[in-house]
Amino acid sequence: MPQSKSVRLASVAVAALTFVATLSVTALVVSPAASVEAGGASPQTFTRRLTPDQYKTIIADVFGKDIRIGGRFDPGLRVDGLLEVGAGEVSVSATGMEQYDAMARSIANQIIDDKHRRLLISCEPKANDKPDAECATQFLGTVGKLLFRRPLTSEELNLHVEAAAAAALVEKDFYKGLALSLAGMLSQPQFLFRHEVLEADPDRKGAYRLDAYSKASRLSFLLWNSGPDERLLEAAENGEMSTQKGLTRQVERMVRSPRLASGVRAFFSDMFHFDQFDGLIKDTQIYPKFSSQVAVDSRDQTLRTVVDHLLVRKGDYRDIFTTKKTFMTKALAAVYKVPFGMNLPNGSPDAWMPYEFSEDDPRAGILTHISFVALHSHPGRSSPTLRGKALREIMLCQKVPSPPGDVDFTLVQDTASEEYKTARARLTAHSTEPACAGCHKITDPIGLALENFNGGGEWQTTENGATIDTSGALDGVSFSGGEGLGEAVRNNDAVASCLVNRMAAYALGKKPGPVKSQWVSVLESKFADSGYLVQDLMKEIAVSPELFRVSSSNLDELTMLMPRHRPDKEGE
Amino acid sequence: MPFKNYENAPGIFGAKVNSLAVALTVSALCFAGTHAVAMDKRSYVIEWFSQASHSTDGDCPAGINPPTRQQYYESFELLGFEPEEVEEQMKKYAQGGMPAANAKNILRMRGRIDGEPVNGFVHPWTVADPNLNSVKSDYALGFNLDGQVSDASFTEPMTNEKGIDNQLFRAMGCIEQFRGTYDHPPTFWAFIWGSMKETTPAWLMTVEGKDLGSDGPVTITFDRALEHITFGPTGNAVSHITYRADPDPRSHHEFAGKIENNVLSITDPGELRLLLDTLSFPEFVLFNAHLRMTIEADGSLKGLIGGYQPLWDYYFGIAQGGLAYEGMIINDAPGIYHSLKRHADGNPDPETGEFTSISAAYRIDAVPAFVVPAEAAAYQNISSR
Repeated sequence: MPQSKSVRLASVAVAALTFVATLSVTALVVSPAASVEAGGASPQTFTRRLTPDQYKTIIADVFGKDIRIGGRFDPGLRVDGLLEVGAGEVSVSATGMEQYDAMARSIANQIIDDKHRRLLISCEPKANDKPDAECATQFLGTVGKLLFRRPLTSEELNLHVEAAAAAALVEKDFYKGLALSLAGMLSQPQFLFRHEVLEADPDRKGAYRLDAYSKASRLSFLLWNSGPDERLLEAAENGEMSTQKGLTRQVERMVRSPRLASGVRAFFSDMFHFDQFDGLIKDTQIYPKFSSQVAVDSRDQTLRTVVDHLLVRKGDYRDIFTTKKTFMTKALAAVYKVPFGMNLPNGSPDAWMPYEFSEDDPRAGILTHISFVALHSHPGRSSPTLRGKALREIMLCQKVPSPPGDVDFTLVQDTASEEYKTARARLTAHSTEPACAGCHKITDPIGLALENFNGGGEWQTTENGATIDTSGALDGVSFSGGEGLGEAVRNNDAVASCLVNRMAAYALGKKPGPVKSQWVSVLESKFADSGYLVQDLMKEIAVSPELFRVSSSNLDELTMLMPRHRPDKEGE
Repeated sequence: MPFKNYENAPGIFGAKVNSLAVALTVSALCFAGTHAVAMDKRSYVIEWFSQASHSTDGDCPAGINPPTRQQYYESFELLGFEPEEVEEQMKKYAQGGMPAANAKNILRMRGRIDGEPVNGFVHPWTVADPNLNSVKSDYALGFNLDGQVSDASFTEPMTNEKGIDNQLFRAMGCIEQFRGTYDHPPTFWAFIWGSMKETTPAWLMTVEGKDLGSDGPVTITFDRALEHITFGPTGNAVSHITYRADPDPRSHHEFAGKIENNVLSITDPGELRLLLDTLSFPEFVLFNAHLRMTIEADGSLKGLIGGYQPLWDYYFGIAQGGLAYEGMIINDAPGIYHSLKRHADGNPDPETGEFTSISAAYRIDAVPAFVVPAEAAAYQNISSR
């Protein structure tokens, strides 16, 4: 359908803003490295692209949960085990920018529709068919502060108010003008990227620290997985964030907030590689119960379990590998083969209920959840190797080398083998290849303990008629089955250390280097002293000056500004 | 060995060593009666239900009944239309629009009471009998319901049992849409069950006994669920889904039964009533209900249920779609009524002596499920292995 002249003209305004946004995205991505090459004496900047969850959470926080967000996000890049670290190394593709633009327009149009206008736009224009600089300034200034996570500069605000006015003139509609300007704002890098600004650290000569607004952002994304709220921005504005007392006061407020659960969910979703659920495929002929609903629910089940254990029950982090307590939906209950009792009408979406596996139930801990055993399996078969690799890399922060490119997998893939009836038998035969033996030695004794759970997460005791042997070992500790493995992981020293390192990296946006290692050691010690309470660890990180310190003379810190391309590889 | 796989599987159908825990947990949850002693209990949802046909070459020596459109030639003739008038009406029927509507209305109103047209589907006895062909075969799936072996009875092709009563198969088995085998159900039933199973509350079975892994007496309970069957990505019922038993006593029936050689059966036949689909088969009723289901290696049940089914229940189930259904899948609804009457063999009317029900058998498959009382709004589950 041909566009009207007015629509085309109005689009010019937002297109101009989008063009600026695109240029700015490029500039932001290249500027740090360029700055480093130029000598790096002046304050550096660090950017991280918003994750899809962060984007959605911010929109919900600022405009309400009923604002629909369509479109696709550019894929993330996992670096050093975290997407949040990779977020500092990614840009926006041309297609991604198109998607951001489309999402922005859709969001902006919802905000000015009859349902939301009165609620979200606190001022009224003098005339609906004309620009109104006063009302536009009020709305765009307020919203812009929450979206950019700092007050807009007068230049920025003027640019958006003028864009809104230009579009309103063409469209003869104040609100359409406002929407086009807001759409432009939502497409700008100041929103799409967490742009951190450094300032000289008055306490340490030659060192830098994040400025108050950047500190506020680091806190809010760490603790709430969203942008700062008005109180936090106010604290940044009035200098409260620049004092340890003020910072601690804000952190304590944020930790007390129920929104902490969002932060915990986001961190563990990242750490546990739950983004892989987006591409998870199962052969439904082999695993007929594994529906898309089961995939969604299983991810949520583990996150609910973790949040409940860590925040509600204030449990020892290590016990997530042994806890019998979890949550259940009807779809999950079918896979776990347990009853689910809840009165719901036909067609109701899956509801959750607390659930506790009995003492004699072989399920215990998140390693026996569908989210682990199914996610780290193949579409049509389990994989002790993938499970072992995932456990080492995700839970223990140990790197497992990728397989050589010329490995013959025929033997392990032949699940109907008459000679090698179980995965253990197939892998034992496969591992006689010297090139394979080394890696399989560190993955398979772990993964084979989970062989009672098939690739769809269901319980099995035999394979091709042969009884499954679930004996295993982890770093010299022998055990049997998923419950035994969970106990061994729980008692492994690396498990707590891994969490601390991951959380520190998550907060910093980079893997802690040598300079930060002392800080991390202290965190590990305090984490142990606290009884491995994750809430305390998050608080400890959040109030720590180390979270905000950057030294320009330290190469370790500067490497975060250099693009790297080391995506994690998966393989068997 | 019966339930071999289940003994290795987790879940409520656990190994014998856990039967006490199972009973303690499940008996408290399940709708069926509780017991003071430890009992083994397994529940199922019926995922497939269709008339049991055993069609073979040559079992309709008079021929398969002609398709509906051809049958309508005879319908017009029976109404007294001259051959050229029949041709004219059938042309209209094929023409569409108003001419077809007029022809169809004649067919719809082909019953006659005091010479006046009446709806032939609602008053099938007022329509002249087209004498549909019926099965003449030695074999039929089902049960010996009356304990007799007679000329009218069949031999069971799977068990070789004599005296099988399945006159429903005899009445319907020469209509193309009702022909089928144990493994390939009749088209009509594939259609009607395919429609009903998506929207109709599921049927549940619970088997309870001292040790379901061994031969011995059991109690077989039927219930209707509040939910319809949950199907998986492949279109089959998902096993181990939890269903709430409808507290409506009309669909709750208990039978004494047994497990013998991996076969579950009713030993004390009685009356079974299960509410079904309000728009087609409102209620499925069997008098003298018999059951024979094999316990499969994966824990599912496959087999037959049979008994005497009220004529009217069956007839209205297939006639409720009127001319539309008749044209698509039924063949000749009033003709079927006459055929059913002709072969009816159960529940004679005490006054007239006319049989009011017909011996029948249905193929049913069931997959493991959990059955909980409907009043359990939400409870903390403790699983047991």
